[in-house]
Amino acid sequence: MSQPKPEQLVQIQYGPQPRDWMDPAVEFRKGTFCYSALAKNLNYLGLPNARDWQPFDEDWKLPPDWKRIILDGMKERLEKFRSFRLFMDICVRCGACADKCHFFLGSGDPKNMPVLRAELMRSVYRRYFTLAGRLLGRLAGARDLTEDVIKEWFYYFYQCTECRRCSVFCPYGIDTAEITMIGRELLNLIGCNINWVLEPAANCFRTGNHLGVQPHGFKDSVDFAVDELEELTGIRVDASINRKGAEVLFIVPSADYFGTPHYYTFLGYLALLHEIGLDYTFSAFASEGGNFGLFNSHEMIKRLNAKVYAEARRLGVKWILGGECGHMWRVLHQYMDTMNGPADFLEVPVSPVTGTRFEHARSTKMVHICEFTADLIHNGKLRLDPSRNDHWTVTFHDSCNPARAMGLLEEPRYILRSVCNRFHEMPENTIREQTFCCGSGSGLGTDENFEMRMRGGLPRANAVKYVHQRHGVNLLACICAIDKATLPPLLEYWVPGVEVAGVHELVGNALVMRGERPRLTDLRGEPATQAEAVHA
Amino acid sequence: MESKELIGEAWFERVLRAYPPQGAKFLGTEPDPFRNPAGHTIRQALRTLLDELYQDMDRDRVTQALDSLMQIRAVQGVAPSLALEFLFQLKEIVRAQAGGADWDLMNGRIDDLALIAFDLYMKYRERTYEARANEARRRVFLLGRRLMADAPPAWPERGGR
Ligand code: SF4
Ligand code: SF4
Repeated sequence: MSQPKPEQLVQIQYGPQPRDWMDPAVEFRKGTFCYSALAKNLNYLGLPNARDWQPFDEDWKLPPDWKRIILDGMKERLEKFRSFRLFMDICVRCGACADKCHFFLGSGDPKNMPVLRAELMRSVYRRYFTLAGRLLGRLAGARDLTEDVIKEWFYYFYQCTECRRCSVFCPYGIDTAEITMIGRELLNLIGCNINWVLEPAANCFRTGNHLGVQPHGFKDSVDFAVDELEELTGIRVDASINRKGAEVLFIVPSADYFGTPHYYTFLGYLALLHEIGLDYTFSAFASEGGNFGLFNSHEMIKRLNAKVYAEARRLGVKWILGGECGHMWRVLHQYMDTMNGPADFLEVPVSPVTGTRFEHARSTKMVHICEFTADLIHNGKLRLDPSRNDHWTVTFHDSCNPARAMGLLEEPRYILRSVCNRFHEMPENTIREQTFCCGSGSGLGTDENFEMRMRGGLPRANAVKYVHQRHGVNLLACICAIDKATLPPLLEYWVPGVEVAGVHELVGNALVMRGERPRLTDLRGEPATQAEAVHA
Repeated sequence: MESKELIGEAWFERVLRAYPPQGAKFLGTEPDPFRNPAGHTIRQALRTLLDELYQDMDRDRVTQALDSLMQIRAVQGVAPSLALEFLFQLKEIVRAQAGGADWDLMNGRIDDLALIAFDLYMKYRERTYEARANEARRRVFLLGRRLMADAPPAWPERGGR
């Protein structure tokens, strides 16, 4: 037989066959899904159907009555959450959301269009909860609930970072993230959950933070940071833990005192709060701002969030200050008050330095550190030397939750413009409310899911690349702990040469502290580029 | 030059066939580079490659174009053969248009592109491994720092990277 010519070889049809979206079969390819939750974590949290299984197994070992459980669960939630029923009913499939999801943009997979992602559940809703669907079946866009549908839900509801970008564009305000949340809740009922969500949740339940750091470990970390800050600035700060009677309880995401580049932001907080003399304390039991319950179920959000108020009460503080975290603020703004509030035992936050009363926080009693710092700067209470950040050309990534769930758009920008000289925005349709997700939020930032994360992060990285090439941007600032963990690998892949930092790291660099010795380095310990100006 | 443009369009269309039809439609039509980064990058890169194939095969330009394509394809869950398929698709299209010596020249040039592309694909696969390893390191950064607390302060090495 003669050798086939190259052009004959390529006659093979590689392209995917056009498929009906109703066909639920999915392929669990390595790199594109998260591993299942370990049985020990389910047991710890008292969740059902703990067992050994993986998404790529043929048999998911569902409970025998899994179908009834899911349908009952749907029924219950349709009654409990009016929004859920509305979202199931009112979509007109106009397609305005279709091309707004970063996972769709990075993968080209139509089931990552928000409208289709929601349709995966809506079709089941129609089949079992509407007359037309019961009678007409597929004709009415209804599908039977099968094991394959469960697998498909798992695949696509854990391929949505609950970023809510799509909801910004929906004329009816349908929030696909909420549908994803319900989807994950239902999957939870039959034990289909991922470890990257449940392990942090279990840890948080046990020790008060996602990493499972125990109180003495927490203290070690804080002490270590205090030592290092002294080495860098010559100033010894007092960072108290569990101190009763402090005015303010300060809650940060645990990555701030464990991971990098978060840690430098932590140093920035310590420097700032010392300089203004805030009477604050950390809690070793509510040592986590984040809330992985958000990626699991409403019940779990409530359980984990309750610790924050419990500790505020125990320590007898007046109000709560929160660090740079993403979903912590989503929980705070959208759920905390209803679930565990109102926090009547606390006072409406007032900045002891400027006298500003944070009216918007009068119910939750919790203020974002960017709001707090912006107020300090606005009132001229900080001495800042932005030239200390001259080695950075900065852009700002609006983290999904602070931007879209709490509208924190101006404060971080105001701070950045005050603490650095070189700042450039990314293109308009990629920032503020329209910001693109890091691609790894909502518990999807796992190693095994790396490829999918790179796809989902492409639109974000692409905008960073633009300002990197055009303005020489070499630092992406952000105010979310997940971002600080997941943007560095994203940029390492797509835009090498751009680093990631928290806003308060840059504040810490620029902050001129009373009695400090000349700064030879920035908070990262990298040599200061400029000759240190005299700050007498 | 008209035929070159036709070839370009046909090629772009063939490349998009690797994506499901509903996805391909958007990738192929949305012109905003920030709303449609993948589609925009693919279109730009194919244009550059085609230009160079018909001109001088400037190595820097073709490498850059192939680089941007491979960067995307290396994380789109496809085998290397599939990631490089677009070059062989071009052969089919060009062959229908060109004959004789022209075809031999083009054929050879496309083979050259394939070799470069394969190296780039591997470069990006390796980059995913490095980025994963570095990510794991960053997560427990402070643990390492604390254990090394007595080590002399070699600041740059103790930095974030
Ligand atoms: S924009 Fe809203 S109404 Fe339109 S398809 Fe999307 S979810 Fe449905
Ligand atoms: S919430 Fe975000 S990730 Fe989920 S469908 Fe909408 S745009 Fe996509």
